[in-house]
Amino acid sequence: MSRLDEQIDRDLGVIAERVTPSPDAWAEIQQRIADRQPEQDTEIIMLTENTLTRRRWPLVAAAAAVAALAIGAIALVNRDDGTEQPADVPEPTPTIDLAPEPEAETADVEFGSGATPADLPFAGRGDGSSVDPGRYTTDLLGVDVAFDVPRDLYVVDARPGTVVLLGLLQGELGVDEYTLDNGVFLSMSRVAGWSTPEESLSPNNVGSIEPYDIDSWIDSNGLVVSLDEATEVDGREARVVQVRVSQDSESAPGCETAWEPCVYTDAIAADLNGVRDWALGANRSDRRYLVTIEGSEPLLIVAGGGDGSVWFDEFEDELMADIELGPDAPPLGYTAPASIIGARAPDSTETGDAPGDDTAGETEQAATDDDAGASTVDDATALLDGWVDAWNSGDEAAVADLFVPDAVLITPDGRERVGQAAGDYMASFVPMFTRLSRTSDGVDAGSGAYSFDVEWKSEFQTDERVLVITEVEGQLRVMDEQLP
Amino acid sequence: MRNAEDVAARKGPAATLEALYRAEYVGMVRLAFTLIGNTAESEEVVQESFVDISIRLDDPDTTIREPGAYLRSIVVGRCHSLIRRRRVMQQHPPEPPADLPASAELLWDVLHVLPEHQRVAVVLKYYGGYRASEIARITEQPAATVRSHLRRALATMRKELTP
Repeated sequence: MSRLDEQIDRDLGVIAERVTPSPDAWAEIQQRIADRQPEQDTEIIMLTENTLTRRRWPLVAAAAAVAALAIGAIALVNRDDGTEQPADVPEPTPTIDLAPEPEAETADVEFGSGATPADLPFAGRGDGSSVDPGRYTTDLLGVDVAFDVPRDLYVVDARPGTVVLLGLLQGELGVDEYTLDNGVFLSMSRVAGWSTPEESLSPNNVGSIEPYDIDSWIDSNGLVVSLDEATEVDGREARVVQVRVSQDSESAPGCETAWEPCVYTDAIAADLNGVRDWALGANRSDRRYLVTIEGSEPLLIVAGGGDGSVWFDEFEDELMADIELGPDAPPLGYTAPASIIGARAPDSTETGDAPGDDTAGETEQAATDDDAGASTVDDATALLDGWVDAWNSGDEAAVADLFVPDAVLITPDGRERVGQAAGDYMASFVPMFTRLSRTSDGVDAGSGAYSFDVEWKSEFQTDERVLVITEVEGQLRVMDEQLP
Repeated sequence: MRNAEDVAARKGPAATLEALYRAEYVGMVRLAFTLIGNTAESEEVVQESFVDISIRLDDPDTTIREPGAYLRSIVVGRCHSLIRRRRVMQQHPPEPPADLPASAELLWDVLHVLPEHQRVAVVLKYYGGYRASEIARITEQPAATVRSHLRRALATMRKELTP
């Protein structure tokens, strides 16, 4: 941490500590809730006597030190820092039975035991779900992947196009110190393009380097390569590179001290609708396996940890050796609009026809691609304009009806809502954002998708977004994409 | 993990709100204060944010996977709104709290001349302890944008704070 970092950290703390929240805050919140819902009986929750020590807020535990490696891959926890709670701040004795911590398990998993793999629990994107050691499979990457989890890890991102697991090889959540050895991660994604350093700083999620051209990505980021060889992953052609940042690189802001210098680098994940980004440091390495998937984007498996850590020495090789891949297949679902991925229109012809395979997933994908483009930009524009009119007239029912019975809404957090749930969700914003405008013509994003710039306005703010509209076999899909 | 998400799954919305209050209220008020510089308004923002999330928690058709993260987003969004409202009303930046040490007062001044997005990024990073990817989630911006805000903010702050 630089002196400037220390100064900002210290003085912001000094400023924040000047605030002493009202001791009546809980009662005031309850009253506000009651005022908002006058027709309902509101349960007043009584808090009990304060005996808790203050929790430093919000303290990112050791898992988060690891988590800077991967976007959204953060475990947030509170830590008791041992300081006393100010007398007038209400933090009472908990009356809630909190979930027990998962019991630590030893790492004596038998790799490749042939046991039936469990489905990787879906975690969305967030604080994470604990995963016990064992063999798991995921179908979120287009190509099915089965792999061993060597010890308890956290799934912190598991959405179409990406899976990220984090773990601490020592300690548990709540440990104070991050060391090079205690953080590991494993991420898997489908890469549609690599970003140059300049592109990584761009707000527009651009990745102009072709997905199989990892050399250009390494060169453009000035990375140091300590391993570069052809290999196989479950019989598939692959290439493995181990990279780190040069010691004389200029460090990006926000680096872990132990990693400095570090850089942030991105790749575009086509069906993630955005970027996957990593921090790379000078004192630890990423081992990146780029697995060739015929006719489609590569599968990228990144294992990261401190050099010489038990992760690399004991687990990573075996994990990679025991990975099993399903038939070649394109990424799932979403294809980013050209305007978001640097005007590179996706190739819809390279999908879904792996020979000799008849899995349900591929059949579905092939059907999707075959039927893409059923609607026109005029159809999509008319649909959107009608919806805009409904919105601006305050007609919540009509806003919701767009999604009934089976239209799909995908929000910036990656969540999908279908039908009435999607409609209700959007309608709930009508009272707040009283004006919706389409601010661009539709852009053909390929595969039957059209993207439109829109603007939602409330009394106090304007949200500029992109709506990507696709109609496949009569089913409407609307992706609500956040722009800076 | 012991967090509001577990409680949500086990105990329902009222207990979730209570757990969220215990875990987050003080920190949220202080976070809001560093952004908007007024204690009463900070409490107002955070309490209204709790009301917002309470309504969502009570909605049987809505599942909030991460109440804590959702709350943080609401608080930051409400702070944004307040700052914009001030700008529209051409209000002056807030006065620093009394008796701040000189270096903290200087930081206060620099902080409140930073563009709003940069200020939010700096506060979330240094006070909140968040990383760029988390800030991106909270502020609903791409992580690359957040990093850009941080770089620019730190360049300004280095110039203003370094003798």
